[in-house]
This record gives sequence, structure tokens and C-alpha cells, in this order.
Amino acid sequence: MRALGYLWSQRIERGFVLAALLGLCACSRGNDTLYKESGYAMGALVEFTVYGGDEARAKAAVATAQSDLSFLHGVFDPWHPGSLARMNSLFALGGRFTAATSVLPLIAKSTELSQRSGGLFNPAIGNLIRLWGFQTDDPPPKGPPPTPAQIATVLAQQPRMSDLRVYGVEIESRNPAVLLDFGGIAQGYAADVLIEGFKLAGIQNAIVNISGDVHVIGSHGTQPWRIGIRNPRGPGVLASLQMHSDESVVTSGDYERFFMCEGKRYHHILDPRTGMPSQGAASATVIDAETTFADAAATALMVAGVKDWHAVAKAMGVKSALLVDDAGRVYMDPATAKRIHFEVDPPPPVVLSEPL
Amino acid sequence: MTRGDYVVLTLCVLALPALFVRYGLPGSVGTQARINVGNAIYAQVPLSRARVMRVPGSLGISEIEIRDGQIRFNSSPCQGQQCVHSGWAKRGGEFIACVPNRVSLSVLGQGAGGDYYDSINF
Repeated sequence: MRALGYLWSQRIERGFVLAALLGLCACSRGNDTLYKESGYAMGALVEFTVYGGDEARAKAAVATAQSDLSFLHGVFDPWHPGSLARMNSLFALGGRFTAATSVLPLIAKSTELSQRSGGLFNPAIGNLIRLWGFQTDDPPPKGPPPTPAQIATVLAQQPRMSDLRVYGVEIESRNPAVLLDFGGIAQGYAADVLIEGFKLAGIQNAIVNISGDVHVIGSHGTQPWRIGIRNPRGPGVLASLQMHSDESVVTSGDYERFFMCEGKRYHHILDPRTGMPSQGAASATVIDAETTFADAAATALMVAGVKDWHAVAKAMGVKSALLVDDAGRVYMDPATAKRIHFEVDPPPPVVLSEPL
Repeated sequence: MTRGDYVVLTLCVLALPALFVRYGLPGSVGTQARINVGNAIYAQVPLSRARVMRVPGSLGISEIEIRDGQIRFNSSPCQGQQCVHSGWAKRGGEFIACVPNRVSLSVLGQGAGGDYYDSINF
């Protein structure tokens, strides 16, 4: 028995040493085959990350993704000649016409999400966006803000996604004031499309980041992808999140685009009910399998603000969300709280909601 | 334990520092930063040497400061100043961009896979 005990102790010791070494290797996030490419594509900051596999395949997949992104930008840019701009001009004229088929899936998705958000996500308010000057960053909007009378005139036209009628590949608007601007959803949609392209190209582990809208597949070796969520009311990263495969995280924030006028800040996320920039929330983050959905939902939760975010999230079917208010307080559901790791010291005050 | 076990154990312990250097630790601070202008790499610089760099972007000069192993935008010709308000970056994978001026900086983690963040949601 003593001999047996000795043998066991030997094995246990050896096992510990081996386990320690193996554990260290397993914790590593080796990037021997990590391929990253970032740059600007049509005004958006875009980053592609591919892990594992052949680098030539990763490069080819990224090149295709960039080309796809250029195409999508051409389709969904409402402010320069292209598919959506043409449709907007025809909406204003009235009558049925043949739609650009590339636009129809996002019209269908946006109509559904707009309805589920109670109209807080409303891509039909392009005229309001133009009134504020947020349709372009080049040159950036400088203000002053529009007058209450100007805003009231545009709001009175009540453009809604439900004003659109689709008949196969034909479409019409029953309201000439509908001007589609998919700024609150198109980048998320593009991230989903590009990730699908990656999958078709045989890429298993990747991140697509379009202006902060993140969609991941697979993992970084043995570790999940770790995404930092920007601090809306301070420097650096507020929190990090380890992602599941085929998952997205999108944040809408009042810090992204804004102008100052007489000491007051006017940001680009407009409340379709008031015609003014949304109030109360500094940022809204949504985690979901689909970036398209997360993008639209994050916009809606920003507009809903601290008081109504939870009800709107439930109505839309959001399963995981985080809201930061003007004072830096964090509101989130218990499932999100379990996954979020704050990267600021001290961590911010947290208000936990009911489960979503 | 036999003498052979002690030899193996000693070798394993000696190998540990090499493995740390090779793979880094999650959360380790960055050692270098890459500065991009547009779609091209403008410079890759160590974070160990304090300096101020004037980087020409599409609007004008972005001033980037490196100090105490950290990097930040000191100033930029953009209107929003989002890049300046982002403050210091020091962890591998941290990323700050001045989109209007097309200048961005990213911290590179130590060793292979040393980036703490794989991407930044903003």
C-alpha cells in the first residue's frame, strides 16, 4: 500500500506540473495566425479581425468584405445619388414604382422593428435629420439648432415606416414626407451581411467592427473574443464583455456626433416624438445574435431613456441591454450584469432591472 | 520523487518565464502603439519613450502624446474632440480614432496574443 501511495503521489505531482503548464498555454491568446485590417470605408471606421486558418484566405475574405461594404454604402446612402436616394425622391412624388431590390429586406426589417419600438426607432424621419444637419459629417454639423416652428412643421408630416406599401418588387409611400435614412440600422445590417460572407468563405473565427457595431463568430483560440465597451462619460473603456460565437454588441451614444451651440450640446440621435435630440441616456448598448436588430434596438433604447428603456426593450424582444445615464449610472438587466466586467475603478453605480 | 522528477520539475519552472514572455498575460499593458492615417500605417512606436508626435490627417495635424507607457490624442482639428476626450490608452487592443481627421491609434499588447481587447465597441 505504501508503494502504491508513493506512486500516486508521484503521479499527482507530475500531473500538477503538467496541468500548470498546459493551463498556461490554454490561457494564452496566441495570435500566430491573427489577421487584422482596419481603415476607412465610405466614411466609416471599419476593422476586420480573423483568427486561425490560412492568412491568404483571410486576406481574400477581407477584400471581398470591403468590396461588399462599398456596394452596401452605395445602396443605403440616402444623401448621394444611389438606390435609396432614388427611392426617396420617388416617395416624395407619390405613386408606385419598382424598388431597388437590395433595399427591400432592410425596409421590411425596419418596418417591423419600428413598430415593435413604438415608433422610437423610425428611419422615415430623414427630413428631420436633414433639418438638424446630421445627414453628413463632411462638413460636420455646426448648428444653430432648427427653430421650434421648423421642427413642428416637419413633425406634423408624421412620416412613418407604416406609410410604405410593398407589392412584390414595387413600392409606394402614402406619405410624401417619408425620407428613409437607415443611419440607425444600416451599419448593423452591413456587419451581419459581411459576417455571412465570412462564413461562406470558410472563416470560422472573426470580428467585423463597423463604426463600433461589432459582430463576432467563433473565438480567439481557446478564449472567447473580448470586446471593450467605450465609456460615454469618461476616458477609455467602461466595461468588457466576453462574446459568445455569432453574437453582436452595438452601442448608440450621444458622444458620437454632435455640435455645440451657446454652450449646449446637440447630439444626432433624434427623438421622433419631439424632433429634439434624445435626453437622459448617454449611451445604450444591446447584445444580440443579430447586429441589425441590436443596432435598431440600441437607437430605440437611447430615445426611450432611463424611464422607459426596460419597457421598450421588452416590447422589442431585447434579451440583454445596458444603459448609461447622464450621471454615469449604469442600468442593466440581471443577465447582462452577469456577463459585464467593469474596467473602471471604482465601478459605476448600477441599477439592476427586472429580467428581460 | 526521483532525481529525474526533480530535473523535470526544475526545467518546467525555468520554462515558465519564457512562456510568460511568449504568450503574455491577459490584461497586460501594451508595449507599442500603431498610428494609422487613412488606411495606411503611419508609424509603430514604443510606449516606453515619452514623446509628442504631430500626425498630419485629412483635416490637419493631430497631436499624439506618449508618456508613462500610455498614448493619447492631445489635440486634433476635429469639431467633436471625441478622440481627445477618450483620454489615455494603455492596454493591448485599446483603440482611439479621430474619424474626421482619419487618424487612429491602437495599443499593441505584449507578446503574441497580448491584446486585452480584441475590438472596441463605441
